[in-house]
Amino acid sequence: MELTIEKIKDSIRSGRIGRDQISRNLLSDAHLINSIRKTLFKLGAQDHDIPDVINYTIVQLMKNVLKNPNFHVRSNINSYLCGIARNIWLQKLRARKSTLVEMSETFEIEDEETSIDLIIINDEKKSILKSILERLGHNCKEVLMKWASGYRMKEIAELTGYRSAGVVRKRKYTCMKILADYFEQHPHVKTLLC
Amino acid sequence: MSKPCYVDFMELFDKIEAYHNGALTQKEQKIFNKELYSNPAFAHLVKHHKKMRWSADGILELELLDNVQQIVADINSNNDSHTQSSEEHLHKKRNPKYYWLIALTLVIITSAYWLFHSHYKSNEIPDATIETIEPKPNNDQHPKNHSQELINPQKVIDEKEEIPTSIKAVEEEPDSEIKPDHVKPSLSTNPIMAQAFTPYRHPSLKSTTRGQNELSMRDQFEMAYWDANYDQAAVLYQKLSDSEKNNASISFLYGNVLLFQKKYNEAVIIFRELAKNKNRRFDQAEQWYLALALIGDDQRTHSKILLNSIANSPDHTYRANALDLMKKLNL
Repeated sequence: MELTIEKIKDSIRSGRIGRDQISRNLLSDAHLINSIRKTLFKLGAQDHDIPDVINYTIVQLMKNVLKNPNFHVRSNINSYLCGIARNIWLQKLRARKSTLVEMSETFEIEDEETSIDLIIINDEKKSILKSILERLGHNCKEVLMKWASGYRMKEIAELTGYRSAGVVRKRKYTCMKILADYFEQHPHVKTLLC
Repeated sequence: MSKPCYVDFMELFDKIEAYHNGALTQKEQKIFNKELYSNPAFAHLVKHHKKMRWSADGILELELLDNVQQIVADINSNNDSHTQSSEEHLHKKRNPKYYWLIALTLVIITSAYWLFHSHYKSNEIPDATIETIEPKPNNDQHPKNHSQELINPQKVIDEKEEIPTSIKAVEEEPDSEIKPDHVKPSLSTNPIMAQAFTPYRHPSLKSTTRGQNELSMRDQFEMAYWDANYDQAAVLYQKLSDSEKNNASISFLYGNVLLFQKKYNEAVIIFRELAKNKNRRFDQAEQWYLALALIGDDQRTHSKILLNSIANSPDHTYRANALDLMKKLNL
């Protein structure tokens, strides 16, 4: 199946099944994966660095499509994803306080299209999020995910089966309150996040 | 200022994002600030908003990443199972039973091919087939032109060197209706060819050393030939010295051995080499066997010229054989 930008957008926004399908297609695309690998190798990445960056590249694509209703790619999807992969890798290098500063400066090209807003969840942050999720429960998770994905209250109501946008807003408020309480009770978490 | 009701509070909460994004109007900003400093619960939410937003993002990311990782695991496990099945196949290959099975299959295929081939040969009706494909030439209606039939110019040159002067005129004569060789049945598989060939035998070739203790390799070769052990003779010929191999008599016999083994092309080479000698012991026989070798080697034109030459020589030992063969093969 040849993936066009429109097809990717529609599939990602259609829900988990569509997202999984796109992920599967992209991850099985040997040409794409090779392109990303080459891009990363040029920036000093090693074999063991590649899978993680590729996974986050797909996640960032999903986030961009979900958050931006006017999502558009000027170049082809492969070049776009290579750009994202490059930025993710450079962010990782910075996080590692790598000595490859020069390399970052050389290769980091300002490109809004492929800019990333990933949290790059490490194990510690992941455990915090999991403990938060345990408090929130499934409904809150759904609402917060949709909210983080940029959906409007009305859309979230339609997608999650709530009666109205008002009900979703109320649910969101409750969820946020739970979160705020969690941070109040776990001040050490603050230092770990963001 | 009175404490905002629940709904108002949620509306204010929605404003938190706008506040963080700097999207509030001046009026909204005033109200927001008032509430922020007077309402500790609201201040609490505002205070942690960044973290909440981060958490919501994180939850989304975690969910997406989990899905992607699951798919990667799926793809890898599929690849692993594919690799595993390849390894199983390799293991199967290493099993001796696998090789026995292959050997058995090959034996069956070879036997089937041999049976089919034998059956095909035994059912061949040469005369009818040849007549159907290649009608008997009519000299009055179809002028002969041999030169049109020649395929390999080098072969023609070789052939011309060896063709006796007496038959060169035949070569120049116009040919009968020319048909491409590929539509004609191969002479080499023609049973008439097999009938026409009888290995040369002459009492002078009989070895006189029979019964003696130590026989030379040449004696063994001649004995094997005389005893019609042609395959053995072929093996013994290879063991002869170069000078023995170049001996005209030995070469002539070996040419016969090759004809018997249906190695026509090699036989042609041997007999042509013999034709270059001035003093030829088996002159006429050599011509006859060369003609047979040419037929076997599917050199239709050349064999026809040579057979014609033999047939047109009244004193030739093999004249009757040549006439008979030409008739049977419609040459």
